[in-house]
Amino acid sequence: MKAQTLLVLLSFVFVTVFAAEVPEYRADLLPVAPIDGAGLVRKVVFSRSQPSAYFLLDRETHAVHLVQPGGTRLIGGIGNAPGELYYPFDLAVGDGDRLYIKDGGNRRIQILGENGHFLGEFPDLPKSEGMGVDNRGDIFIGQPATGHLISVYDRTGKKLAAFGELLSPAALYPQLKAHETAYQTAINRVRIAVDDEDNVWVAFIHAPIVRKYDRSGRLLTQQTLRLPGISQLTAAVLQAPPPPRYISQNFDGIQITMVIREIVFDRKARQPLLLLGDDSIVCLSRDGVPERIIRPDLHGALLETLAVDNEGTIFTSKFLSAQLLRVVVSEPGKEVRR
Amino acid sequence: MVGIAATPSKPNVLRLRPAAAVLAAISLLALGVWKQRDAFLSPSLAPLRYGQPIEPTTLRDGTVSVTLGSGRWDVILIDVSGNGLQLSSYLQFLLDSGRYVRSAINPILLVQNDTAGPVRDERRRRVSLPVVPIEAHESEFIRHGFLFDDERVVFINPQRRVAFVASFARPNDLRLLFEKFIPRTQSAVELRSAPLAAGDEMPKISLKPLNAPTAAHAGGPATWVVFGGKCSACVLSSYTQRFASHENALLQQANVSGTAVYLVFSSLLSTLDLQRRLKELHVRSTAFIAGGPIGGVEGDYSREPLSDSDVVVITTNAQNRVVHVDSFEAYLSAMGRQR
Repeated sequence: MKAQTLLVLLSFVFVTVFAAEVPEYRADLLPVAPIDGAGLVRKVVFSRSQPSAYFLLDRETHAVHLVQPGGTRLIGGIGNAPGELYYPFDLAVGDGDRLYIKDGGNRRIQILGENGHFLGEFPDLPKSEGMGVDNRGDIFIGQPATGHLISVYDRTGKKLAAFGELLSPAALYPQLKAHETAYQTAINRVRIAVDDEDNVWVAFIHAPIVRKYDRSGRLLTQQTLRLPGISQLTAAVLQAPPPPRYISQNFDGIQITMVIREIVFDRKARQPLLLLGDDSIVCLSRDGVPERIIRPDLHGALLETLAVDNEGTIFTSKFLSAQLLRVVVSEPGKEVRR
Repeated sequence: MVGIAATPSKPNVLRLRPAAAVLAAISLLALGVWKQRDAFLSPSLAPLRYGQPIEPTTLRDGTVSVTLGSGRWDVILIDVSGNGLQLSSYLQFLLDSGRYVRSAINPILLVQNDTAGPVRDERRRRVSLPVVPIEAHESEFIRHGFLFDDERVVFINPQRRVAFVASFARPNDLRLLFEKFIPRTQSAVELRSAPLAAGDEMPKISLKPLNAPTAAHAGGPATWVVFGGKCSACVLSSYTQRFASHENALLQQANVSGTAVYLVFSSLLSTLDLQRRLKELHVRSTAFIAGGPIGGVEGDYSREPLSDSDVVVITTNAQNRVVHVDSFEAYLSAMGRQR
């Protein structure tokens, strides 16, 4: 344990002193045609079977909008009944466009068919954050309160496995030495993406760390992000009150600034992408090493979501907004320096 | 001859002690069972859940008499120490809006820790629906299976089944639930008010001062920073903080142009929370809370913001006409460019 703590501390020092050079690109955000009736975009996931169709998780209307070229269809809606949603928080799309929804307000994980018909549910206990689904339909959810980072469930809610070593809060943030227990769950909150080979990518929400596991839970790689600006972001994690230029969340009774807001997998480029807390988008290699940073022109806004379509086009949305935006790298060939 | 001398018999302490202990244990157990009798008699001890049948239960509290499971749509809100004030105010607004068949609804506000003080005063000022303290009826609730646990919003349908239960809700959720469940008195078509634009007359807003008891809008050119109620947490955390960090520059600019700066908060926000926050951030500008919908900024019924931003900055001239309407972000970046 002490060796692990030392390793994390050393990697932090390394990151601060030797931040690696990663090429940066500017990008414009172009509004996509507005979706009628959408309230607040929480997550967007593209269909696996229909090109250019996507599912938009809306926490304002408690529904999923299936947006297709021919029109939009609403799935869910406010309520407790099977097939209804209340404060849906996360969405993963599996084979055959099955929807796996963290139905937060109803404290359950629901599985719906592509038409919205109810297929199953199981309790979301202890409260999870982060969800991914593999090609077999097994569900990976972040449940650090169980003592492991990730729990694996089948579609019936049967727990199949658990894996992933938790980070020690004090190893990341020495000021938490006296509060290890209180911060244990909060610091280990993650976002999850499953790649085309069913590897599980795990991004820590409150630390600049990304891990890659195979589907059996074997750790393949762990990367601490070495990027310009990351130290300001990590310095803001425990700042109280959280700085308004970043988004913070209070999931476990503690308000903490987010370092990584989202991780998604680009199936065309076969690489994971991150949305960082400073609104930059980072493209990672298959080993989790940052290869490219995209810095969108935000005009004072904050970004909340990240999605990639089957053609590799990146989409995002602003915090507390209903508008989906296409990320267009202004001069793809021209690298910029800050 | 061996005589047996009679000696005065002493009580056998060793034999009596176990008996006393057993008796004491039985008494304690009986006392425990008696105190928990409601729980033992209750047919169901699980927290309220969707679809659960409800046994009608009438609560009497002073002059108030309300029935849960009334055979109408019971809309039950639970307010713990004033944190449900925003939602109960919106429920009152929905009831007063005239859009729903009043006789179909049986609204009840259950209050925990209802002690005398500013919270209770504000609640009385804002809501006129039946208010019942929980503590006085806890035993009855348990006996009839009303285990609210941390559920704060409960809808019971006319068939006396739980139609919706949740531990939290925002005004917009209450609106959606009303639209889903409660019969309407008129067409469901919602006319959307138009957002304010340059040249419009600044709408009349009923304002109550927040940080200066006698403050009043003096008329004349003004800069109004209007905070909507769509996300009360955002207003109380980031938006007010953002305003506070730019307040000096904003006041300076307003001073140069001879305009007054007023902050206006949606009536969906809590007066007490806002007062606390403004004090904490040392906000010096005159602040008000609206007494009703803010025309041209939030929807009359839905209270949804009419523009993309939840915080807008409106500048008005001496004739009380709107000169500019900007989102807070756009206003700040324009101000930055001017500087």
